[in-house]
Amino acid sequence: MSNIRILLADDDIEDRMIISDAFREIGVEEDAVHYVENGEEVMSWLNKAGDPLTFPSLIVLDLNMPKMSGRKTLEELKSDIRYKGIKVIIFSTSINEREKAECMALGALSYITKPLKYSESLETADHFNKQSLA
Amino acid sequence: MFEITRVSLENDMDLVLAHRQGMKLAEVAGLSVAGQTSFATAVSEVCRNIVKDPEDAVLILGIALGEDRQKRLTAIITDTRIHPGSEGWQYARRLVDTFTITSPRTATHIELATLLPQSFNYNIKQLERWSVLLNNDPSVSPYEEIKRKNRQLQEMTTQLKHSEQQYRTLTETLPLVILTLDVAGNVVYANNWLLEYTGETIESLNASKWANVIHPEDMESGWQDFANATTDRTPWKAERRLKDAATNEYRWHEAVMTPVIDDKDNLLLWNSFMTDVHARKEIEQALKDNKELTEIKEVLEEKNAELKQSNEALEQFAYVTSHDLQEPLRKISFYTDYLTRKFNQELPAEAKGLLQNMVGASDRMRQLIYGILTFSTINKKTGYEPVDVNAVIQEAIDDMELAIREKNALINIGAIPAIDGIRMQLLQLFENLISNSLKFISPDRRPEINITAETENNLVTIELADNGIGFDEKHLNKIFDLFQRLHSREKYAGTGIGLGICRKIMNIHNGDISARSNPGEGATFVLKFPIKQDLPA
Repeated sequence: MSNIRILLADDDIEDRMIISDAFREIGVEEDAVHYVENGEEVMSWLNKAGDPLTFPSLIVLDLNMPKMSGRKTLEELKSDIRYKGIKVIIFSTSINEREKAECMALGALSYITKPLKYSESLETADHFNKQSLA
Repeated sequence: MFEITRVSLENDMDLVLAHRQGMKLAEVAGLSVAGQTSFATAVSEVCRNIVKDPEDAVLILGIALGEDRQKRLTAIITDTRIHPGSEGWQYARRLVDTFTITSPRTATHIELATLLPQSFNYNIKQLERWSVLLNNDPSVSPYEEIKRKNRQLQEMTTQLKHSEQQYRTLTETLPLVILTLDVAGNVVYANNWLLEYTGETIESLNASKWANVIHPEDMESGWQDFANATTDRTPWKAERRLKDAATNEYRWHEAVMTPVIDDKDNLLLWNSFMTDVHARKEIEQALKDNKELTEIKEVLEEKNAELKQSNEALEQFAYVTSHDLQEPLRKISFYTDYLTRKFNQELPAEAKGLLQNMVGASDRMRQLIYGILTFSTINKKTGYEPVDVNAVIQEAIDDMELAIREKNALINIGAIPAIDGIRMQLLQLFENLISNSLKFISPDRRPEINITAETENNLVTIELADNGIGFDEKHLNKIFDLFQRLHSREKYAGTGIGLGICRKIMNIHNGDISARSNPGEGATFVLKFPIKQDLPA
């Protein structure tokens, strides 16, 4: 657990495969990224981890997820004293200006559109990696 | 004096009656037989003189209480003319205790009385019983019977006259039209109110069958109802318009009709009264109109709500659809690109070409979805605010700077007033229109767009004229429809949504969009906006 820098929540298995492929391509170690399928799993993962030293430095959230949406998860994280220090990046299919503004207001670090091209997936993975190390 | 009975004195038969009643009263009052005879004889002696030549003579028998607290059996004989005294009167004077003649000059008034024993119990109830006894005593002679009946009849006539007078006074005093009709509908009685109101007489009303009074529309039904009521013979009500002779106006009246039916179940008459209910009728009508309006309004509001709901559902559907359509489309784009990059070396040139077409198709579909998404999210959720249209057009030009420079287009903007609007939508509108003009430029000349405005009262007309390829005006009604394209994709790319969005934005701004053009001569888009949204155009 201690090596995990990035916790990524996305219910779409293909998107998880695309981004993990990109991480591998740019040389990010396998155990630095952990994948879950929705916001509930993000919260329970953090609860189970307990120790702030084992927390990831970056949480990436898809917006449209079952059980607990990315927006709701962002709200919960930012209103909890234990988790509010963790960086959160929203990772969504489409740019919706209103949605983006709302997420930024809630304390998201940035709002990234999912890649349309192979090269974009590499850029995105690189951005996540750099943010988790910064 | 308490009157027990009276006898009118007209002839000798009455004399017998007077004697007999005198005897009887003296008897029940407790006098001895001698006392009875004395009193009765005295009475008849006085009367004998009177009946010789009576005018309106009457004998009244009763009990009186004197100032000396003595009770007396009393007889009063009066007449409206003078009678000279007689021997009989002198005789009578000796038979009773008191005998007084108090006749004024022109009339006769004789009172005679016999003291009653001290033991006599003076009690009103008892006196009333005597009165009944003497007045209803079985007749001893047919004459007496006739006499009594006559007296009853006279009393009844007096009472009848009195009550008729009261009725008449009452009907004239009440502010009501009161009348009586016979079975044929003829007026047999009407109070002054009816005659004053209609300006007719009973005779003229009957002659015309009320034709000058009842409203023509109420005439036929009125008499039909009357005829029907003759069969039903129950009380009924009707509302009729009657003409006021003073103003020549018809006013609504309510007539209440009550049948008069005799013992043998014959319908004799109709009693009727009518009240002016015009004000009430007018209020009723106003309320009814108002109710109908309210109902129509409710239906409209309901329809409006339904429409709004289905519109919202449609927009929601379009939004969700386009949003969810993006997901798999993005994968297609990504995998196509991934395939091309990752297996670049292995793929034959033809396969790469086909994959490139796939990327192109995905891009077009993405634009289409983006267009639908934009279209479905344009709605009137926010309020209007003053918008500087010049600034909005400048912002649109800045956003499209790259394309404008690429086409070397010239854009001129005249002075445009600020209008009430939704800024983001107006920006979208001008971006779409400028983008449309830049798309259909003519290859023969430098592209030029002139934007001008004219103001008239609360209406501003903004014209956006280009020098592009133009279009045939027979397609005018199509170009603002969704997905309508006049050209093939190979010649001019596009989704057919842009101008549809423009029309939707104009609708939200309570404005109008149209265009004029000739093929090859450029196109002019005409936008009409209200300057202030809360003022009439």
